[in-house]
This record gives sequence, C-alpha cells and structure tokens, in this order.
Amino acid sequence: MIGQWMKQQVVSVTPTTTAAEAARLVVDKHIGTLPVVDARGTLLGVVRVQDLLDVFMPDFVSLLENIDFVHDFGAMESLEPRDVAEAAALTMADLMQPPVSVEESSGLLRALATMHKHDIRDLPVVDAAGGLVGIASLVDIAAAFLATWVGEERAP
Amino acid sequence: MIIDQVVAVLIFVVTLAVILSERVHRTIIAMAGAVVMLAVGMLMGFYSQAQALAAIDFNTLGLLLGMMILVRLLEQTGFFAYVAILTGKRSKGNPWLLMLILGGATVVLSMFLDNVTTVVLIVPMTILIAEILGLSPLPLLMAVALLSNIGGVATLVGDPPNVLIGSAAGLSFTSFLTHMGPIVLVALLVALAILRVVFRRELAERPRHLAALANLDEKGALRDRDGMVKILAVLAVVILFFFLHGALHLQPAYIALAGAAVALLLVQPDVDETLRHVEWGVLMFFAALFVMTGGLQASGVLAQAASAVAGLAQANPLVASLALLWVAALLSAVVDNIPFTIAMIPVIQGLSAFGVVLWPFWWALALGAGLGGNGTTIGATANVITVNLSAKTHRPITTRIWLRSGLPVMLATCVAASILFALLFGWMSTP
Repeated sequence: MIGQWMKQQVVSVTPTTTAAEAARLVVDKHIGTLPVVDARGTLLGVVRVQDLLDVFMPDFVSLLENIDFVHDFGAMESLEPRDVAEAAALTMADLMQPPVSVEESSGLLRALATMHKHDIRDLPVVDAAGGLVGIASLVDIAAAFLATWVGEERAP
Repeated sequence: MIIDQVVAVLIFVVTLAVILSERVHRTIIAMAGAVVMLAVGMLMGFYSQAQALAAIDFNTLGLLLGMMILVRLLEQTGFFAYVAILTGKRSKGNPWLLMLILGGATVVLSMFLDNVTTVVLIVPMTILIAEILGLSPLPLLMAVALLSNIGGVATLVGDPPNVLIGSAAGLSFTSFLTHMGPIVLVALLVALAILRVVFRRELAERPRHLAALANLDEKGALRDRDGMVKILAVLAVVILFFFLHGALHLQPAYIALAGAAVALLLVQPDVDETLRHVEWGVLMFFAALFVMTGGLQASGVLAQAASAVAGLAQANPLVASLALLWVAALLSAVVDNIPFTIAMIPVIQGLSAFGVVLWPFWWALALGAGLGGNGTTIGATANVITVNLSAKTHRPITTRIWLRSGLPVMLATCVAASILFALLFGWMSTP
C-alpha cells in the first residue's frame, strides 16, 4: 500500500500563495510539485514546477511542433522586469492544475500506473475525505515496487 | 411561384442566421439547411435531387481538394519554416524590413496556396522571430493576416471566392492575374502604408538580440529536403498549367488533382494521415451551400433578384458593379464571404438574360469579397486563425487592435480598388 511509502511531511501551498512565494519554496527546498490545499487541508489542485516555468516560456515553444532549429532564444533568455513582476503577482489559483491523487490504501502498481498515465512524477495521497496526507515521488514508489522483484525486503 | 420563393429564401436566411450565431458549427448547420431545402423543395415541387446534385460545382471542390493535398505534403517537409527563417534573416532584425519581407513572402504563398494554411504555418514562425529579437509581434501578425487576404485576391486559386467565381464564369488563371494583379499590387502598397502609420511606434523598436536571428538554423527546420524539392517541382508544373489551362481547355480542378496525384506518387506518404489534414469540413460546407443555393435558384428567386437589378446594371454598369463591390466588401467584413459569393453567382449569371455584360460584375465581386474580409477579426478565416493563435500568446490581438489596423486597411484598399476599377473600367469589362 502506498500509505507506507509516501512522505508524510508535505510542503503545500494555498490558492492565495503567490508565484514568487512558490518560486522561493522550489529554490529553497528543491521540490518539483506543490499540492494546493484549502484551510481544512483538502487537496484542491497541484502546481508543478513546469507550471511556474510556463510563465517564462516563449509563446513559440507551444505554437511550433519542432524547436530544435532555434539555437539561441535571444531576447527571451533575459527576464524582463515587467514580465517578472507580472509573473510574481500570479497566484496558485491561477496556475494550479486539477489534482491527480490516490487514496492511502491504493496499491503500488496502481499508483505507478496512475503516474504513468497522467505523466506526473509526484503523486499526492489523500484520505477518504479528500484531505492531503502525503506525497510520493516516482522513484519512492518505483524503488519500493522493484525491491520485491530483486528479492530485497525493504522496510517502509 | 411566389410561395416557393418565399419558402426557399426563408430556409436560406434561417440557415445563414444560425451560421452567424456560431452556436452550431457552420458545416453541420449548412448540411442541415441543404437537407431541409431539398426536402421542402421536393414536397413543394420546385427542387429535385437531380437538380441538387447538378448544383454542386465539382470543379471548385476538386480544385480546393487538390490544392489542400499539395499544401499538406509541402507543409510536412518543413518548407514554411524554412522560408520564414530564410526571409526573416534578410531583414537583419529591422522591424519595418521584417514586415515587408515576411509580408511579401506571405503574399506570394497566399497567391498560390490556401490562405488559411499559409497563415497557420507563418504565424508561429513570425512569433518566434519577433520573440527572439525582442520585438512586438503584433504589427507583423497583422501584416501576415491582412496581406494574405489581399494577396489571395490576385489569382484564380488565391482564395475561395475566386475559385467559385472563376469556375462559374469560366475565367482563366491568366485573366485573374492580369485583371486583379495590378489592383492587388496597389492595395498591398496602401495596406503597408497604413500599417506603417498605425504601428509607427512598434516599428521603430530596436531589436535586442540580432545574433539569435542569425543563429536560427533554416536547414534544421527543413525536415525533408528531397520531399520539398519534389513537391515544389510539382507545384511549379501545376502553376504553369494554370497559366495554360484556358488554351489547353483543362479545368483547374483536373490540374490540381493531377498535381496531387503525381505528388502523392512521388512522395508516397501515409495516405490516411495526409488525407486527415484535408479540410473536409470546408469542402462539405461548400457542397451544402451549393445545394442550398441550387434550391434558391430552382425556386426562381435569384432570377427575380437579377431582373430587379438588371435595370441599373444595364443603364449604368459602372455604378452597379461598384455597388456590388461595396455590398460584397461590407458583408464580407462581418459574415463569411463564401455563402454570399455562392448566392451572388447565379444572380450575376441571371443578368446575362437582360443583355448585361457580366465581366465587370465578376471582378467587382472578387474584389469586394476578397478585400472586405480584412475589416474585422471574423471577416476571413485567416483572421480568425491569426487571432486564435495570438490568443495563446502573452500579447494577443484584441478586437480593438484589429479595428485600429485591419478596418482602415479594408476601407482604404476598397476605396483604392474602386478608383482603379472605375479608371480601368474598359479593361474590367473584358474577361
């Protein structure tokens, strides 16, 4: 069960947390996924580090199929003060994606398949009421799962 | 019978109103309208299945289909990105020069290829070049959209109204180029002058990163060089045959479809994948409108309309054709220009019964329907696509920006076209 393998200390944010505060959390704690919760701890959404970066992504990146021929991003490489100020004012409510999560009782393979299908690397874990209780990374779960394969007993 | 005409017009107007409301996709509602028109026509006895089938102009559909296949094959090779980079580099980052060069490339492409495809492929490249240089993409995007619409007016295959008019009137590729070409050239200069004034502030910007433009790798953008050479060769032959089609008595549809067949044979792509990118919705929309207009014609209402305007057309063909140009332009600015063009064609044809010379009316319709599309964000499909693509960016084209730049361009190019049309009226009265 995933409940045994998840991290219980979760750094989470609220819908009113600003992008600048979230960026500070990413820089200080090196985390890639920030669950967004309300005052009661219910999981509302997820902001991934990519969502924060999207604010800085040039428009052509999403419009063109292939960008390999763009060897130099030129003016886009330098952050303009206006863009930074604009981006910093965004809140988690603006940036968050609908949450993909599993309950504590979910099996490891199901958790892995869920991450695979939704192409995510961190999976929030919730209780029956939808409250955030932990988070597990792809490597956390995969290591736990693969340990049984190589015949190693690992304690959670 | 008057009741037939009232019913037919009612079905047509209701269908058009639903298309305008944009609540249902235009292809779906046009198909529904065609079904109702034929059903009611059969019940009331003014329209038959054979007439409906005969009303579909397969020359128009074949020409569009053939060109769509060729463009899709060309698109896959990375040709459009290649052209955008190659031409963009020539500007050395000067915004005004960039607008002239990218705009010029767009004009040439849209003269021979579908505007929509041209815009879909050039707009992202324009945004790329503007972003890495640190320039505002807005003037460039407006230029691409507006100039593609104007450029398309110059040739038989440049935009759908011309395809329809050329097919119905039997006008050749060469006569389109010689009649519309000079007017389009002036219209392009007028449009550029207006863009220059409207966007004077943006066009005075200095690019911040010239090196990035030089570092774009046009060869890397080209995915299939051999394929590009093959398809461009086919396109060149197709265009050559367009010039000769009058003399050779070949329909443009045959030339375009033959070109598509040869290109498919040379490239041998995944056919299902290639055909998935054909705009079937557009072709179905045309076919459905043909069936609907066929019903209008069979009811006799279009002949009535022709006889109503025949007096003016006979007495003063210049005023009558200029009036047609402006009605077409104003309508095209706010509604799809295809239904109007398809409905106007039988009306103009009906004028021949009154001994009216039709040629100035065909040219006026082509100019109005083509240039009018620039008036609003919804005036032409190229506009809708440019606005939709730019809506995904940090600096979207708003309706305000369009009305500040596109609307003056539409009005000024229509005025210029009207003056030239009047001055060259003798020439405009020939095929």
